[in-house]
Amino acid sequence: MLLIRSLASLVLIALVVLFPSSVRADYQQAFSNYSAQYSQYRTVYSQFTVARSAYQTYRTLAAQNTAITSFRKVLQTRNALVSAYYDLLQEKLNTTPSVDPLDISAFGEINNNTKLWLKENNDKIAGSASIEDLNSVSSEFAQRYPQMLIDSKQTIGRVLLAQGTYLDNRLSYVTLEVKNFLTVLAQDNDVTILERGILQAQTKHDLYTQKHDQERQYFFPTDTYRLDNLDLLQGQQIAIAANQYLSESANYLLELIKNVTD
Amino acid sequence: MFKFLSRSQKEPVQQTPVAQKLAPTVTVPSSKTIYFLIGLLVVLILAALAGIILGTSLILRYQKQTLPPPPAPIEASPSAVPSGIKKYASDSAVLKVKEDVRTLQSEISSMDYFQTEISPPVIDSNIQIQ
Repeated sequence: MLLIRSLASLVLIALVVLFPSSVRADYQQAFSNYSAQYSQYRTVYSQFTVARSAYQTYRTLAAQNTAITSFRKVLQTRNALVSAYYDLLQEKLNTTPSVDPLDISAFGEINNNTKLWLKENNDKIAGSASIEDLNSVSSEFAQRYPQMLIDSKQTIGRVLLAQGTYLDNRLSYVTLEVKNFLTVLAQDNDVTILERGILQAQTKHDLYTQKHDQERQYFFPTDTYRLDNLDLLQGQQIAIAANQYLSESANYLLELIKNVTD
Repeated sequence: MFKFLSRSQKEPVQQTPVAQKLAPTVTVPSSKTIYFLIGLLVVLILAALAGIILGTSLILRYQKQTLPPPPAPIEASPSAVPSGIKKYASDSAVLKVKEDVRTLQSEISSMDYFQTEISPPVIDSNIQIQ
């Protein structure tokens, strides 16, 4: 199983590296599909509310049949929307740099399990003949939905963490470039003042690392009960604060270079 | 009774020697004494004022002695960046590093924190017909 996962990861990395345009196209395709499903859901839901209102008002057999048909359709459309949304999240992870391949495959399993559950739910919808049966099937979705929200928020958190890691790697590369340059300068000049800029940049980088770890702890806490109160906005604010330190570190490097070029 | 009254009107009361000693005597000071007292009062007031002024000046002088000296004015230090590095100002490698840092800054500032494309859809999670 581990070998298969490793091979799958290698293939995925190769696809991302060798065929970036095709991977982006997959994401765009997933987004288009999701957008279409979302639009269809809104349309079907508004039709359902009309049918429900008519049934609740007139309570005729015809209104009941129309309500049941509309009810069945909106539940199936909702499931299709959620399925498309999970595919979108999968493609987002596939196309985001610095996402761990293990995380991509882990979400792949979550995606597959969710689709299996949605298929079972669709089968129950198709087999429901009364409003009460459809209410029961819909309630099952409502019980499952909080976990779907957690999956969504954690995936967004993983994207933010990966983007931060990518920028951090870029900063480390640029910092190394500047250090190499200072080494050349130091052969003929006293670069003590310039080296202070490097120290200040590194201090800000250390602060970024701490904030990045805090962000990771927030989106993926060891105490899973905290996931019930996972606030996406709060996690995003931690990410913003972390990247602010990256920005300040880059500023110190730029000021250092400007002492030479300006 | 009439004999008692008539006696008090006709004959002055003679004080005993003890009563004479106990009786208060009122003496009016002379003008010289008054002037002396006034002058003494003025001198005392002036002395008090002089004491207050002297004491205040002593306190201030002591405080001046204990206050730290004012800080030396801050002068701009001459540029510590060695002038010899300016020869690298147009070096292609240095300019590349500068461009890399600027590109990184741009990437950091343009990062999408809210990921609106992958935000969860707004749906009715518990659709029911009552």
